[in-house]
Amino acid sequence: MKKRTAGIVLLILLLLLWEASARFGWVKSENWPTLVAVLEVTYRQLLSGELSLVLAASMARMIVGFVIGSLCGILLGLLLGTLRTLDGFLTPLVEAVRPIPVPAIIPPLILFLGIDDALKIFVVAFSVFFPMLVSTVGGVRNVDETLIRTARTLQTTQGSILRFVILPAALPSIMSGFRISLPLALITTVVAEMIAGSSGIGYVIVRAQYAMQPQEMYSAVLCLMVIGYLLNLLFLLFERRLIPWYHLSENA
Amino acid sequence: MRAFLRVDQISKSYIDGAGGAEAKILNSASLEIRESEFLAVIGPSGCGKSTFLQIIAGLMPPTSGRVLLCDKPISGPPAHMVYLFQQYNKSLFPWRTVRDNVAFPMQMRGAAAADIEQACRDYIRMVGLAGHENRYPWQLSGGMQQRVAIARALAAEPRILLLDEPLSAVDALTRMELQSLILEIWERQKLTILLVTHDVDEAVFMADRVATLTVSPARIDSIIETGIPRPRDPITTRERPDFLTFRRDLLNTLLNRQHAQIPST
Repeated sequence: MKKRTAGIVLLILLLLLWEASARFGWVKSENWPTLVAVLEVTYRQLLSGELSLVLAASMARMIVGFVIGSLCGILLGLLLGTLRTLDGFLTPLVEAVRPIPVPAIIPPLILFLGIDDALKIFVVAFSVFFPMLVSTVGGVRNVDETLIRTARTLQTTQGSILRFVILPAALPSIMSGFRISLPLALITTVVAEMIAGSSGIGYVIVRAQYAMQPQEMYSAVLCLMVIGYLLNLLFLLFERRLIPWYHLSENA
Repeated sequence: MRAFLRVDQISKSYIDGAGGAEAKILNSASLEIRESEFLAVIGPSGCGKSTFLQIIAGLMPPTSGRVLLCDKPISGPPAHMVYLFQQYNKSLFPWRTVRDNVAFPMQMRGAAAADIEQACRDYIRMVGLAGHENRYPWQLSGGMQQRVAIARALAAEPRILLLDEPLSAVDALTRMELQSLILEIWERQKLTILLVTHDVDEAVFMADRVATLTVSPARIDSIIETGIPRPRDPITTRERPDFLTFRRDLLNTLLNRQHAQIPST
């Protein structure tokens, strides 16, 4: 608890340093607004809807892409993890496509998907898909053979073994995939909006930079920081509800 | 007497991955198990006992030979036969509480919720774990975990229990408690039990008949009736002259055989 307090003190000190550096002219730049000015703009634009609607639209795209990408990743992961033949067939393809940095495929994809929601949802799903796939396959492979044999001797069908044994046993690993892919989804959303289209929080940042509106720019960054933080918090709550036994058993 | 469960000349070989050499674990092992008897199979560690039992459970196919349950050859785990693993900590579902672990086999066969509730309570009480229903397996001691595994096995309504050194990982006193518990359940549920163990004392104390396995490749060497009367008491039965004589003869056989094998290995 003491460590945490110290960390919060450091955070507040840095924010104060920001405020002071701008207010007393320690940083000589037109583009270094005071924290108070940035917070003012944020507050005003959130209320007016200028910023809140933009954020909501970005989040909606991110969530749709995230859900599609992670569902596909988990389903294919379960298949690859359980069917060895399919694994040998698909793994080289997965390994070849996985290292592609997502921003690199945005320009070519624009030619097929345009610059609107379809593109952004696709790239978010694409970026989330691989970590989810890899962590699901890993989780499935690590399920102890004794658990599966136990289920078999207790007259469990193949389908039920997948659903009631392999899936819950692989869940901690799948959750760690979520933990990696959630911030990734946010990053990809912002990057895609910066590269293509004329909407979303990523676009707002780029536009503010071109228009020399540092307050707007920093306020968008600040909002993203808060969103990223809240997403992680939400994830931890979700994880605690879904696999309460896991962290407890690790400590036991 | 018709054999209830018949193991008919099963052999098992593995192809060694690296060298391609064939390693023979079981060599035409045969065994007949009578209905509602308690049969112990004894053999040293690493002699293929687990393989032998897993083949009987239908968890592993034999290289040759077959297993017949009521004269029907088995392919895959047969209904009413449950295998109890030695590693209870790996065999219990860590995401399920004691109650939900016990409920598992009943859920798998689609029993009604009310029936499951009632049966869980009964089985958990039978193994002496009443009050621990909502705890997770990893919150329990080793002996308690194996009790959960026993209750869960019973929930599958077996007629035959296959026990793979189920008590070798618990402390000596807990082992004696669980031996008595298993005997009590065996009598009450009219089960047929096949116990595989390396513990001579345990085999003689629990079984009607004791079979010995030779070392690799394993085959059944001899089957002897213990003739020790029931009910068996953890203390007084072990002091009986017939218990001691049987145990001595069995140890003699096993030790002499090991000794005789030393020059050849």
